[in-house]
Order: sequence, then structure tokens, then C-alpha cells
Amino acid sequence: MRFCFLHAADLHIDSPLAGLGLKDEAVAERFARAGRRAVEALVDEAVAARAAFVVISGDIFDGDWKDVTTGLFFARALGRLDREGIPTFIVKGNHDADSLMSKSLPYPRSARLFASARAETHVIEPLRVALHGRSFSSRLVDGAFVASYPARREGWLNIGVLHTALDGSRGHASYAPCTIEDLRRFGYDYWALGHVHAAEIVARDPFIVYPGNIQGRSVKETGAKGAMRVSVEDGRIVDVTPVALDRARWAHETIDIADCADEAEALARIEARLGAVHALSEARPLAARVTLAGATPLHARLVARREALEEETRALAFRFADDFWVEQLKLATQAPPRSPAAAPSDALDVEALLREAASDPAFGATLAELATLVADRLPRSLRGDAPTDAPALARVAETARDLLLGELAEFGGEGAP
Amino acid sequence: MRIEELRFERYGHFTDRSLVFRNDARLHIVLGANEAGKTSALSAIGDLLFGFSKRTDYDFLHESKALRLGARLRLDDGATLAFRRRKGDKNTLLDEFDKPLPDDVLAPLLGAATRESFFVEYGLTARALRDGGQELLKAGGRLAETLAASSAQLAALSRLRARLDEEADALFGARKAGTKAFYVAAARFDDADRHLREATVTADALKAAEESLVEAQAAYEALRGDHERIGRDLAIRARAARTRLNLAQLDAHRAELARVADLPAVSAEEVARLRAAFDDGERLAAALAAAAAEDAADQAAIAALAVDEALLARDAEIQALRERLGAVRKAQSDLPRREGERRIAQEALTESARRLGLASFEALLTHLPSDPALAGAREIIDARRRAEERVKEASAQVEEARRQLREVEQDEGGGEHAADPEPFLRRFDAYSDIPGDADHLRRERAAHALEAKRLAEDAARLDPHPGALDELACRPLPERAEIEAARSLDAELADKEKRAFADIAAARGKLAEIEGEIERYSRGGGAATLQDLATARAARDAASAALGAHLDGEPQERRAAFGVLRDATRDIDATTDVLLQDADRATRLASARERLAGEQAQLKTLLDSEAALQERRAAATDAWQELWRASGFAPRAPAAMAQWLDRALDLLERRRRLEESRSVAAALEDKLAANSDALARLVTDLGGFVDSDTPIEALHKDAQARLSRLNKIWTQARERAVRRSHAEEDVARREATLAHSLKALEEARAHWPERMGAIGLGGEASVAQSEAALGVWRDVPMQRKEFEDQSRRIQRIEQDMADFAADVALLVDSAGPALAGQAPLAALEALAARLEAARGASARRDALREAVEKRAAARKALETTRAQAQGALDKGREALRLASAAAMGEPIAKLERRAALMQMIDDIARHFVQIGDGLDEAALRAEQAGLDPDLLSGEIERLTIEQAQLRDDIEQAVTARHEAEKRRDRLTAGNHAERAAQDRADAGADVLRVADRWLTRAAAARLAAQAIERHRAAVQDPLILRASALFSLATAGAFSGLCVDYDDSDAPTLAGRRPDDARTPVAGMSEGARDQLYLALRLALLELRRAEPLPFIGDDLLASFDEKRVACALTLLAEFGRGRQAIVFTHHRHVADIARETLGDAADVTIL
Repeated sequence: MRFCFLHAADLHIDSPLAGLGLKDEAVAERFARAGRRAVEALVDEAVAARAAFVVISGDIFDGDWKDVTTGLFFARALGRLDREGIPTFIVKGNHDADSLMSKSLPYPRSARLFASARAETHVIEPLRVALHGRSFSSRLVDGAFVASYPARREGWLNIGVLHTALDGSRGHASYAPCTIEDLRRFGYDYWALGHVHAAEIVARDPFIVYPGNIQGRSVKETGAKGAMRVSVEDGRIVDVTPVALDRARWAHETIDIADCADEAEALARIEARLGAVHALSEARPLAARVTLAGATPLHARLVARREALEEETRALAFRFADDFWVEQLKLATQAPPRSPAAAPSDALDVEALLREAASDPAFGATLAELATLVADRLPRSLRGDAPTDAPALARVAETARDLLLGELAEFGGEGAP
Repeated sequence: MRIEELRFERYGHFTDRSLVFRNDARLHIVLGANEAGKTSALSAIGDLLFGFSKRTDYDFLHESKALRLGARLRLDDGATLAFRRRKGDKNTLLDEFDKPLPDDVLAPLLGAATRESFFVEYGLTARALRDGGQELLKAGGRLAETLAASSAQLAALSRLRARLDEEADALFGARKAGTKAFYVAAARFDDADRHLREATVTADALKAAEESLVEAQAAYEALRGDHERIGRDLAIRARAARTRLNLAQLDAHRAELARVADLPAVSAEEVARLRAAFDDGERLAAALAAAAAEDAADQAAIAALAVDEALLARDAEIQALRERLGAVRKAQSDLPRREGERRIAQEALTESARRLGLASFEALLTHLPSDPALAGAREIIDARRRAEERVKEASAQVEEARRQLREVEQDEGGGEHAADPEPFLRRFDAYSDIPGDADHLRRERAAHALEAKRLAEDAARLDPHPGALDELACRPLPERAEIEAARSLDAELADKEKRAFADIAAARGKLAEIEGEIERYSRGGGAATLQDLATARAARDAASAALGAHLDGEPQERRAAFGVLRDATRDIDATTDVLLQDADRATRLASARERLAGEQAQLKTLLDSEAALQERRAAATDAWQELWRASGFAPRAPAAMAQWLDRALDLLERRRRLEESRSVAAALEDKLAANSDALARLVTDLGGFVDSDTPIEALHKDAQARLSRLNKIWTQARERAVRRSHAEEDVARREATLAHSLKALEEARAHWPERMGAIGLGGEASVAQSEAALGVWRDVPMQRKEFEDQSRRIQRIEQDMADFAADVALLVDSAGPALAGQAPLAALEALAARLEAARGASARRDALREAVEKRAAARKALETTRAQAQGALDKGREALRLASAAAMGEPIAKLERRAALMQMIDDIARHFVQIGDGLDEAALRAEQAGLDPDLLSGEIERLTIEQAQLRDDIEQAVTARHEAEKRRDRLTAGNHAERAAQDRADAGADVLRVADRWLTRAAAARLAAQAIERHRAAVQDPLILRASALFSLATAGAFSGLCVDYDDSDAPTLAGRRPDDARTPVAGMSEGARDQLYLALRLALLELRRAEPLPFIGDDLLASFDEKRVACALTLLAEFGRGRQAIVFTHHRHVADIARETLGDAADVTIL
């Protein structure tokens, strides 16, 4: 007997994408709608692939999201699966546990929500499939949570549906902590995990799989996003294939320009890389961050012209598509080290003067005052993002110094013509 | 580091060319005319030290990759470095033997300097020098900015700081402002945040919406229930109102029916049949009687009628004749008209015959020509006439052309000789400037005279009088800067004197005030002071000591000592009492005395300062007089003399310009004189006579007039030749046309007799005669046709009228002989009238006979029907048991009434179905039991009102339910909160971006300010010390140096110090002094460089300086050149000359 099912997680429906600064309303709308359209794509894929069922491993909603129509949208999506005869199995994740909005949504009968009080098992008799799962009752659950999962049901295809950060090594806080070995001990055939937003087949015997989130939401979540299509043959998993469902894509390209002789050469290299990344976007709206790196004599000039360069980079991206948006041009370049053979600095060495002034604690104090001044005027919810800690201020000081050096080198202090 | 030799091996237009800089010189002057390669040499120094740029402008002679420079440098430690620089990507530094040197071999020499910073800091142009002076002025004397301004890079940093401050200010400020980008973005974020809150559909909101929908539905259902109940009550009462009358009628009908219950049972059909038979019997009897009477009347009328049967028999014949009457009458009226038209046609033919000279119209018709003959005649006439016209016209044109040719031949001008003026015109063109130049010269001379007069007047107005301007130009006048300095010093002294006078007056006033205060406090008397108390205490201590010394002595001495001690103690007590009682006054007095002492000291200091000021004033006055001694003028006050100098210099400048203008005028005069002879020769060649006194303008005009006349004669001659040629061509052309026309005429005349014969004319007939005959013949065919048509018509009419008269006569003979003798028309009309009367009588008789026959048949039918009715009546009578059929009327009426009542009862019962809403009588009566009929209408009205009210309520409830439903649906559909959240995220990112931009700019501006301040702190003391010495040199001692002063806010400022120690702020310095200050600061700063010194390169640095200032600047550069190399490129030879004069061997002049 052959069948397949879809495994998705971390839908985070209606969670906004990171601020893009888009000017084109139509393109902004496409990005804003991408999350919901990805969910619709999941349903389309399930119907098209004639999936036997769909597993969703938590974090369907954002915990602090209050708009109940988001839940109704999801209920409608499940309703369509129900009409197509495709049941859905869902565990609630840490975000869902906090979500008041999703407490009483009108899910169809075929949508099975695993209880939070204890682990439970849902079976699909004709397919001889047993799904074991447990929802989060609160934001944080401990190691005992995983231990409460039931034992393998012999002669059946056993699927564990679990929202976990595993051992936390993937940069996520320790939610439902456990190790791969812990999971292996259960003897299940497939662990359908959720929580980590990067897709990963953690193990193949048994399959321990993160499908990743369904739609990238920031430049940290780049590349194709979607779900896993799991093929089963005679009670055995035979294939696990990622299916791209995202409806807008993120990319982050770091481009080394150390050997570029001038800005024109650097722009040509940026354009080539933008072309390459766009070719991989499968005609989706694409938001890309470009980070320039490398030790280059152009460094200070680039800092002085960063905003103008960002605009030029955006114009380059528009050559490929109207909805190819460069979210930001970041500079991680450095000036080449000063020649050790050079003479000691003196009063005419403006660069040395600026370096010394920038490392002066008095300037550090001035900078901290400036940062605090603007941070205090920020809307309350944004204050955490203001650069007020020491490393951030050190970066601002470096940027300020390089801005001055770049402006002096580029325009002699007179400003761009 | 000094450049000892710079070799252009292959560079620009140089090949193997060297510039050698003498090692013992303090200043190198490279003198090169424009295009000599000065710019190339400057660029070569950059390429040598920092490498070739990828693109170079100096490969126009040598191939780019072959470019090569070389140099020999003398380092600070005395060592020599020789190397060569080639163009390329790497290994561009080579030694003498073309072996690569390390790329960083020059790094210890160059330090952090780049090609750009080298030319910015170590290079200087005249323009940069002037801009630097302006920067100093802008710095407003503030030390940090002034010192920064002396470095090109720091000056740029200072400007950058100002710009960044401006940019930062536009982005953000501590005070909220709608124009700042940060607050705009923050407001957008707040809007987006609020919009998200509004767009968010919470579970509570959705639940509330659903509950309100349920409530609205319940309210609606309740109202619907009430509405149904009232509707039911209202229906019962309305039905009762509708059916009540019918029920009452039903009761009445039934009562009446009971009253005729004794009649025998006869079916309704039977009653109807009886009624019909009874009524028929009555009606038939009456009808039979009436028919008998009508028969009698008709028979009498038939007997009275008489009919003319014979006439009726000729009816068809008479009608046929009457139908022909219309045609006969029309023929009678047409005949005269037709005869008149035939006569007119005949007259026309007769007239045509006459015009052609024939005897009658019959002869005319006999000779009528055929159509081809007529056409042939028309054609030949046209041809002959056209040919004659063309011959006439051509003859006239030939004559006219010959006349014009004769005219042209006669007009041969005035017999003047025509010569080509072109060579003369070319010679004349060379003198086109002469009138303008001559006029210009005259105006210039007048202007010179006027300006000379004004100069003399303006000079006379100056005080002191400058004397003759030529002498004034030779007198040594003080420098403007020196006068300015004296004026500044004078102003400063005056200001200080004024302030000193005011301060002294104030101090004296204060002293007088304090003395008054002391006097006021002392006037209270017995005032004790702390001094008094101290004195008393000292006396007491002395008395106590004396008592102690006398304790072992005599009692008398002890007593005396004790008395002294007691008195002293009392004094202390008294003083203490006074102090305690008058402590305040004592304190004030003491204070006043202390202040008095202080003020006296202050006054003394002020008086000392005033004395010093007076000394400075005297010294300044002496210096002022001394300054002017050499000029020989007795100067007025410095401010006045500054103006005087400006005016005097202006006068000298005007005098210089006047002289220049005069020399230009003289040159112009020479030019005019040289041209005069040549112009005279031209006039002579043109046939004129030249007098040696003739002014050159008159010569020019004469030549111009003669040339103009010559040109005119030449043009007229050429025009005549052209006209004659045209006239001859015209005569030939016209004569050819005439010959052609004559030939055509001859041809026409040859065919003439033949064609004329065909239309009855002889060959001698003229064109006009033939045209007239042709015109007559053209109309004859039409006239003949008209005449023949009219003749045929008249004949036909006359025949028709004769036939009609014969037919009428025949009819009258047989049908009305009495009418014989009457005209046919009148006889026919009389017969017709008689026929019409006979027809009427016959028709009337036929109608009466038909009526009688029809009535007989009807009577027979009536008799039969009457017998049947009677049979039926007889049966009825028996059933009703009546004796006579005649008495049956009433019983039948009663039977009919009974049947009607029963029918009405049935109708009402049926009607109930309609008005009783389907209920039967029993149901209606049961439903209405208990209803008070009198209250019915009132209750209906009340219930109707209640029902209407309920309808309104239900309508509102429906609306409310709809609204609740819509609200619920709207919430379910959502408000695009996800888009609002995205907008909020975007707006947030925007705010952070603006904040980041601001922070970067504000931080950079602060960093720049701190760097500038650090620079000041680092260089201030040594820089000012060295710049002070250089500035003194640069101003030839007008300033003894520089000093640091402090402004009102205690900020350090830079000022120039005069030899008399007076201070001149930067703003108070002349423009030249500021330029020198800038140069001194720049050079002093370069000297501060700790690394290997680089040469200073001046590029036409002194272009705008006068000679005296050039000398000062060269001295300054030579002073710098003691420790560092100074190279000045210039194309002004005088700079090299002054350098040689001023510096002697210390100047190394190289010609490029």
C-alpha cells in the first residue's frame, strides 16, 4: 500500500515580515499576503498530491496575535482539507499555547488537535497509522514532556508529532528539551518536529525531521520554505522531500569585494550575484539583503556613500524583476591595515586624529548620550532595537569615523554634488 | 626630504629632460611660460611619489606603458635615494639599473600621505591661498577652527562637520518638530500601531457580535408572535363586520319564505315556463291585431301609384347618350383654342419664308436643306471666322513687338562708358574701419580732456593736498595695511581711553559713595568696632598681668592694680555692650571701610592704566607721523588718512588708465595717417581730385560716392543689353504666328462656295450673311411640325360633334316627339328627367307588394305560437286548480318570489365563502358569538393601530438583526489586520532607519569636532610659536607675531601682535595680512610633521601679490626652506627677479 502525507510546522499565520521599507504598494501587498498564500499553497499541495493526511507540528499562530480572523482563515483552510477527505493532525507549540485568539476555533471534525494534559494517540485504521502527540499547555515545557509520549504500536506506522528545540543547539531556547537518542528510543518511524525554522532532516533512522517554517519572515529565514512530503510504502517511510510553498522569498548575499579596484567593479559584481539569487527565486517576490565584505581601500568611501549605493543596488535588482527588492545594503568591509612601514602619525594625519578621537572615552560618553537621546524618543515598542549597548555603540563610532574619512576622500567635505 | 633632481625620461612632451634643484638653495623657483610643461612637472611629482594613475594624460607622445620618471632625493639624514618610476601594476619602482625596488620603499617618507592629501597639504595655489584667508575669516579667530583652517584636510573636516550637523538636525532633534524626518516616521508608526489595534478582531469582539445577533433574532421572533396574535383578532373582527349584514339578510329571507309555504310544489323551471307562456299569450294577441291594420294601409297605397313603362324601356339608350355628354362639351370648348394655335404656327412659317426671301411658307417647306448640309455650313463659317480673328490678332502683336524693338534700339543710355567696379570695391573694403576709427579717436580725445579736468578737480578736493598727480605717483606712500593697523590702534586706544575715563569716573563716584556711607554710620556716635574690643582686651590683659605682678606687693599697689583691672574689665563690658547693641551698624561700618580701601587701590590701578594709555597714545602719534614722513605729507587722523589713501590711490589709478587710453588713441591716430595716402590714390584712380588738406573721413566719403556711381552705370548698361535681346526674340516669334494664321484662312476660303450652295446661298455670301441664314433654317423644322399637329386635331373634334347630334335626334323621334326641335343637349336632359320620375314610382310599388307578402307569412307563424302557449297555460291552470287561465298572473308571481328567496339564500351561503375567509355559516356564527357588534369598529381600529406599530417595530428589529449580522460577518471576514501589522513593522523599521541615520551623522559631527579640538591641543603651542615668527617675516615686521587672546566667553582666539604689543584680531587684518597669516600657519604646520619632511610645492602661488608682498612671501618661503624644501612654479618672470634680488644666492631659479 502506498500513500503520502504532508508534514508542516511553524505557520505563524499573519505574523508580519520584518520591515522592508517598500515603496511600491502592490509589491508590499504581495509580501504582506505571502504568509496566508503559503498556507493556501499547503492545502493545494495536499489536494494535488492526494495526501492521506496532513501533520502540523505546532506554532500555527503567533502567541501575541489577537486577530481572531486569522484563526477563522486557518479553520477555513482545514475545512477545505476536510471536504477533500484529508484529515489534519495538529499539536500546539509554544506560541499556540500563549494564543488566546485560537482557544475556540471552529475546526472541522477531521482536524484532530492533540490534548495538552497528556500525550495521546490518534489512529487511521485503514492505513494502519498511529500518530502520537501532545500539545504545549504553556510556553515552556520541560524534558518530562517528551518522556510522556506513548510506546510504539507494533505493526503500525508510528509517527511522533512534537514541538521541540531538541537540545537547543540550533540557536533556539530550550523548548521540550530532548536528544536524538531520546527520540530514537521510542521506536517510532517518523518524528514530525516543529519549532526550528530551518528545514532539516536531523536523522534518517528513524526519520527525525524539521520541515522549517512555511514562509520566511526575515532575512534570517532565507531560501525556499515549505513542508515535507513523506512517502510511505508498505508501512515504511521511503522518501522525504521538501516542497516549496512560500509565496515570497528572502535572500542574504555576502559579497567579497576585496579585489574590486573601484565602485563600478563592485557594482558589477553585486549585479551578477543579484542575477544568480534571482534565478533561484522561482519567480516569487524576493527580498534580499546584500552585505559587502572584505578588506578594501574603498571601505571609507563606501561608508560615506552607503545610502546612495543602496539605492543603486535596488535599481540593479529592479533590472531582474519589479518585485525584487533589496531590503538593505550592509557594509562589513574593513579598511586595509595601515602599512607598518608608514611613519608615525602626526598633526597632519587626519585619519589618525579621527581614530584617536573615536577611541577617546569622552567620545564614548558623548555617543552614549546621543544614543540615549534618540532611544528615549523612539516609540516604546522599538526602544529595544536602539543601539545603546557598548558593542553597538562601538560599531556606530566606527561607522561615524569611516563616514568622515569616506566623505573627506570622496568629496573633500563638500557633500555629494 | 629634498628633491635634488627630477628626470622626465619619457613623460608628456619631455624626453630625457632633467630639473636639478640646487642643494644649498633655500627656495627653488621653476620659471616656465605657459605651455612650457609646468602642469606636467607638477603632475610628475605626484606620479613619481605615489605611482601612475591607471589613466594618464601624459601618454600623448610616448606610449603609456613606456612612461618613466626618475629622481634623486636627499633624505633628512643626509642619505641619497635614487629611483625611477615606471607606469604599471606592480614593481613600478626601479633602481638606477632597472632592478625592481620594494613597493613600500617610499612609505617611510610619505607616511599616511596620499596623492590627494599630498597636493592638498603640501601644495598650494594662489586660489587656495585666497580661500585659506577666507577660511581664517570665517573661523572668526576661534583658535581651534583657525588652526584647523590652516590645514586643508582639517578645514574640510570642519566644513564636513557643519554639513553633518545640518543633516542631523533635519533628521532629529530633542524638541519634537513636524518637519524632522524622525518625528514624521514616528507619527507614521503611531498611526500604523493605532490602525493595527483598530483592525484587530479580538475573540471577545467576535463573541459580542454573535451574541448581539442572537439577541436581535430573539427580539424579532417575539415581535413576530405579537403580530400574528393581533392579526388573528383583527381578522375575526373584520370578518364579523363583513358578514354580519349577510347573516341578518339570511334570517329575513327565511322568514318570508315561510309565508309562501302553502303554494303547491312547483319546480322553478315549471314556474318559468308558466310565466313565459302567460306573457307570450298576451304579446301574440297584440301582434296579430297590428299586422291586420298594416295590410290594409299598404293595399291602398299600391292602388294610388302610376308608372311610365315605355320610357323605362329606353333607359339604357338614354344613359349611353348621357355618358357621351362630357366629351361633347369639352370638344366644344377646345375647338377655338386649337384653331388659334394652328394660325400662329402658320404665321411663323410665313415669317421664316420672308426672312429667307421666299414667296410663301409652302415654298419654304419645299427648299428646307438637309441636316448634314446645315452642319457643313456651320463648320466652315466657324473656321473662316476664327482664321480671320487670328490673322488680325497676330498682325497687331507683330506690330507691337516691332515697336518695342525700335524703342529699345533707340535707348542707348547717356553714352557713358561703363567700367567693372569690382577691383575698386576690393581696394575700398580695406578702409572700412576708417569712419569708425576716426569717430572713436575724436570721442577719445574729448573724453581725455574731460577726465584730465576732473582728475585735477578731485585732487584739489583732497586734504592734505596731494600736489600734482605725476609727483604724487613718485612719492612713497604708506601701505594700506599699515594705515589700517594705525587706524585700528587709534580706534582701540580711543575705545580704551573712553573706557578708562568712564572707569575712573565710576571708581571716583563709588569712593564718594562709600565715604558718604562711612560718615553716615559714624554719625551715630560711640560706635564700637572689633578693633576697639581688641584694644580693650589688650588693656585688660595688661592690667591682669600687672595685678598678677603686684599680688605679693603692697596692698595699696594691689588695690591700684585691681582698680586698673576693674576699669579695664568695665571698658570691655562697655565696648561689648555697644557692640552687642549696635552690631549691625558696626559691621556695616567695618565693611564700608574695607571697601573704601579696595576702591582706592582700584582707582590707583585705573589711574596707572590711564597714564600707560597716554604713553601709548603719544607713541602711536609719533609712529603715525613717522609713517608719513617719507611721503612729505602732514597726516590727518588715521581713519581720515585711510580714506585719503583710498582716494589718492584711486586718483593714481585713474591717471594710469588715462595715460593708457591716451597711448591707445595715439596708436589709432598713426593708423589713420598711414591709411590716408592709400585712400587718396584710390580717389584719384576713381577720377577724383585730392587736396592734401582733405580730411581722411572726407576722402573715404568721396571714394564711397564715386564707387557707388560707377557701380550704378555698370548695372544699367548690363540691363539694356538684356532688354534688347528679349525684344528681338519677341518679334521673330510673333511673325511666325501671323504666317500660320494666314495659311489657315486660305484653306477656309477654298471650301466656302461649295458649303454655301448647300444652304441656298451663293459663294459671294459673307460670313455674317451665311450665319443669319443658318439661324433661320435652324428654326424651320420645329415650326413645320407645330403647324401640322394643330391641323390634325381640329379635324378630329369637328367629326365627333356631328356624330352626337345625329344620335340624339334619332332617340327624340321615338321616345319624346314633343321635344323635337330642341337642341340635342336640352332634349337629352328633358328625357333624362322624365326617366328618373318613372323609376321612383316603380320602386315604391315593388316595396309595398313585398311588405304585404312578408306580413302574411308572419301572421301565420304567430297563430301557431299562440296555440302552443295556450296549451301550456291550460296545463298550469289545472295544476294550480284555477278556473280560468286569465287569473293565473298572481299565483305565478308568488311562485316566482319563492324561487327568488331560495336563490338569495343560496347566494348568501356562497358569498360567505368569499367574505368569510372560507368559513361556513355555522363557523361564522360560532366565531362571532360573544362579540359585541357595537364595539366591533372600535376594536378593529385599535387593533389596526397596534398592528401598524408592530410592523414598525418588526422593521426596526429586522434592520437591527441585519446590522448585527453584517457586523458579525465583517468581523469574521477580518479587517486585514495582517496587512496593518506589516505596515506597522515597515513603519517601525523606517523609524529605526531614520534614528540610525541621525545617530551616525550626529556621532560623526561630534567626532569631527573632537578631532579638531585634539588637533588644536596638539599643535597650538609649537604651531603658534613658529607661525608667529613666520608671520612677522611675512609682514616685514608690520606684525611682531601672533598671540592667543580670549573672547567674551573665555574661548581662546588667535590675534596678530603689533610691534607696540597692540593686538589685531584676524577680522581686523587686511586681506593681504590674512593671506600671509594663512601661509605662515600652513608652513608652520608642515614643519611640525614628525616624519620625513616632504617638499612644499607652490603653484603660481603669488600671482595676485604686488611686488612688495611677493618679496615678503618669498622671504617667508625661504625661511621655511631652511629646514624643508620649498619649490615655487611660476610663469611670472618678476617673481624670479624679485627672488634673486631679495634672496640672492639663496634663490635657485630654474627655467623650464
